Amino acid sequence: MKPPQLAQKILQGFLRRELAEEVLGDLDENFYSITKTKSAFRARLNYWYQVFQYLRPFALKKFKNNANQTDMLQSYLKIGWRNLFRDSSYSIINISGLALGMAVALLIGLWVYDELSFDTSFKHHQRIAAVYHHIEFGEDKLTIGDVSPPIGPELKNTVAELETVSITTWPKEQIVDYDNAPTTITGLFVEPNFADIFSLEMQAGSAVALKEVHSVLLSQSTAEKLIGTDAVGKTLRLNNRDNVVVAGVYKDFPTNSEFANIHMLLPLNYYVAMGEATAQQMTNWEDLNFQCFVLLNEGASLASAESRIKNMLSEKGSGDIKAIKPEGFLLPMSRWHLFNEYKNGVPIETKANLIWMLAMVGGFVLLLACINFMNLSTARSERRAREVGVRKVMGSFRSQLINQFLSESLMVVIASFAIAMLLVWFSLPWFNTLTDKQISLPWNNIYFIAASALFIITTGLLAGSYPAFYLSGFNPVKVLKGTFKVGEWVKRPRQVLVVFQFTVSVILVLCTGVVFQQIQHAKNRPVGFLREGVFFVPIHTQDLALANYNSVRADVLATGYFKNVAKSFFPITGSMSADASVTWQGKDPAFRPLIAMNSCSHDFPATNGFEFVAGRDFSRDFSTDSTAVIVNEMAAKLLGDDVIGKKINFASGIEREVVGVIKDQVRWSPFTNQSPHMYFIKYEEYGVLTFRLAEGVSAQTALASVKEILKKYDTAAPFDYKFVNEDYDRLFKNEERIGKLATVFATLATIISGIGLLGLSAFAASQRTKEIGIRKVLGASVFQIWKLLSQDFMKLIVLALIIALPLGYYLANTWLMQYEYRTEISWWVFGLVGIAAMVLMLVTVSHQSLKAANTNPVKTLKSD
Amino acid sequence: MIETRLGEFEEVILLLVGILGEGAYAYRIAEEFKNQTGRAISIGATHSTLDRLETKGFLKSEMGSATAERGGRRKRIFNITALGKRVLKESRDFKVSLWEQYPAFKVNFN
Repeated sequence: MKPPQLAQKILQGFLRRELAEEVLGDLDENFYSITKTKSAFRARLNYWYQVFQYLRPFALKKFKNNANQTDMLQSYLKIGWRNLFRDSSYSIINISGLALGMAVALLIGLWVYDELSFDTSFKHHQRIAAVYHHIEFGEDKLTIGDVSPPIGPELKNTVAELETVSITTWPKEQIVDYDNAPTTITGLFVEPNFADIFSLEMQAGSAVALKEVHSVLLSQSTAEKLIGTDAVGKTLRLNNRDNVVVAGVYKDFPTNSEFANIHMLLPLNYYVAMGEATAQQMTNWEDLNFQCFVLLNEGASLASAESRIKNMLSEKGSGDIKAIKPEGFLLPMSRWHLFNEYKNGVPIETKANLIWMLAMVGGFVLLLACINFMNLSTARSERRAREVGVRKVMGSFRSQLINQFLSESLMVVIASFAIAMLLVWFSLPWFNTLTDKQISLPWNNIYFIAASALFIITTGLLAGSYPAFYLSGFNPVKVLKGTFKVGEWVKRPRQVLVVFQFTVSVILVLCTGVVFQQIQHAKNRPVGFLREGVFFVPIHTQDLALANYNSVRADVLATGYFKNVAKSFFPITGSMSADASVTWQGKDPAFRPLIAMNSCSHDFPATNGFEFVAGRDFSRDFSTDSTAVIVNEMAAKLLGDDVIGKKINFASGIEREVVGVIKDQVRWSPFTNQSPHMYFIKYEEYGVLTFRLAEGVSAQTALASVKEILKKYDTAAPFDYKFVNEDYDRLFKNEERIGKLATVFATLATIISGIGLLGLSAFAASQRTKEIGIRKVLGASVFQIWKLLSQDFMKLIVLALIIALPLGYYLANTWLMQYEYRTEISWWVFGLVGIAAMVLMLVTVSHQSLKAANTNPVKTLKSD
Repeated sequence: MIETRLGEFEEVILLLVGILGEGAYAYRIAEEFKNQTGRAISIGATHSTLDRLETKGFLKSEMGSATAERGGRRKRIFNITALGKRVLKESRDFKVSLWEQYPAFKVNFN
């Protein structure tokens, strides 16, 4: 039996050599003495114990090598630090450029990550889908997520692949009154299994309450805002109609999920119990006003479930439904956010494309910054050839030189990264407002940290690799003698990189210009209604809806603050209903165009300032006007000749007469083609009240008086209004966001390229100081020297423009193609960008070349 | 500067070295400590103290003979130096003087 060998090895590993004999002897003696009285195991255990007890300073080997290496590391850092400050302008250029690039890339990266991780927070997100239908409507093929309620039970009973099915309404604002403080909250009416499908996390109470009627679940944030900490059991008044009890509080849906703004879940049972009409909806196959979510069984195939869903609606529905030829399919949750748009039954990937575009921009900006960084560090390192020579003569190893250069570039990268993080941290609030998101830095995300570390190391090593491996190989004798010259081949890649940088920047600037041109083009589009001095108030409650419109109108006009007031189903900036069922004399029965409809009171066209091209406005003077219609030019074209006086038959059986034709209006997105519109008189439907201010009346006075008047008719609802011009601007939100983002990124890319050019030109000038000195002595003028130094860069910029202009045109055109109403790209934009790029280049380069050209040649030639 | 004060544990080890005479090496001292006090102590801890006492000049050491159970390895034998003896004596005198000033025990000494 022997002492444990491993323990002996370890002991010898750390024990000072001169102690080995006596200590090993002592331990052996101890070991054998223990074996005499105790088990071998105890002896071994004790041996291990004794070995570890020798981990004491006096017994440890002195790791001389180790100490030396930290010394070298310190020296690397110290020299690196000094180098940073010796050429502080270079360092500032280098670090700030790289930090800017990194910050942009980080921001875009966070944004893309947020978009791609949309809806992935739900536990079953891979098995959730929504029921969609392609339908034929007039000549168009539309894709809708609307279903009729009976499809829910039908799917549950007949499609084996589905675990659960839940019918819900669409999100709608509800007026909730707690403690006499009414507010509007967006809510959904859902079936009880909604909680299971979307793994609702209850903070208090229970989701079982969705099986009840007069109960409600609130999101945590809303419950706290509305009621306080102890919300469960409190009673709310809903739409001034019913009292409902808060049965539970759920954790808010994540901001990057489909239901982010849903703060209230109501039982569908309650919706059913609201009245006869809503109860009938549940069994009506024609009522396409609901959403349907399904949870597939584990491992079930989407395609096989889809095959049963495809014809379900058209088989069960009546003639009206069959006429639109619905074709069902399942849209998996992964596609809800970015891939939910279709055109003529084919998915269009506008949103996803935008994300990839931005991700690419981010990547390019980062690449530009890295290129700068590498260019500048290689350019600078050539000046240090002499340092390398001296170090080598003094006995430096090549490995030490390599370490020196690598640690210097790592230092700079780390500093830039720290600054980039700060920049991101400061700009996140602004970025979140711009992108309408709530992104935060994922400090604790392991992938984020790993990616950052990987990025730092790669950039640091790449940028440092040239000086580290190339310069360290110099023959010191040549370098010190001064006969050494860096090969022409090193300059070539640098030139390629400058061209690449400028190409990218020019393309970005061009595309930004086109984006703004397009936005301006759409903004200049004639809208066909009045936008200034008009606002509308949504009718939320029954009280106001059932109030006598004429007396409301009389009260409002009596204030003298208003020129007109009107009631309509949709506001002028809202959507419209679409109908393909109207007929008129002489219409081909097979021709079923989709016509947008808006029902309204007599005063709607006048209030909104419609522009008539033929006929007249609605008028109370004609009793027949209660069945009158006003159409736009596009609709008039459909109706054929002699539009005024034409009789139109609506699906409801009412015959209406056209009294006027108005100019085409922008009622849909200003970027798309508009459609035929019809306005018809109908007082039973209600949606909004529109008010037009009299001239010279301030908005505040008018709003206050409206608020006062409406309170008379509707005690419960909060007063809430929108100005038409503000609401119309909302239609530009997406494009303006793209425009702003593009501006920011294009500017940054240009700045980064400019910084790079500045650094390189300074370097080029400094390398040729002697040459310039001699030329000046021989009689060269400042202008000639300026030309000499600038023309190299000029060639590069011209080359970049030759590549960038056509490519930019192609890309901008591709982007424009997605809009139906689009601007022509004007050539002056290209000329402008081209000239701007040249000017920028010249200004940057000239600063350095003029400095070089104006230096007294005696000074430059005096040294060595 | 070398610390020249004597700690309590150091004092015991120093005494043990004196008691063991020619047989004073780390393992034996650790064993003897256990026998005398009933408390186990690792060889490493003992060795560390011995090393310290040697640095302070209270001990000197030399390599001794080898035995079979040591795998033929020699042991390091420690000896008290004159300085060591003096420090021990001073330490004892100091304590005796303290004992004598302690009224409860003074009686016994009379």
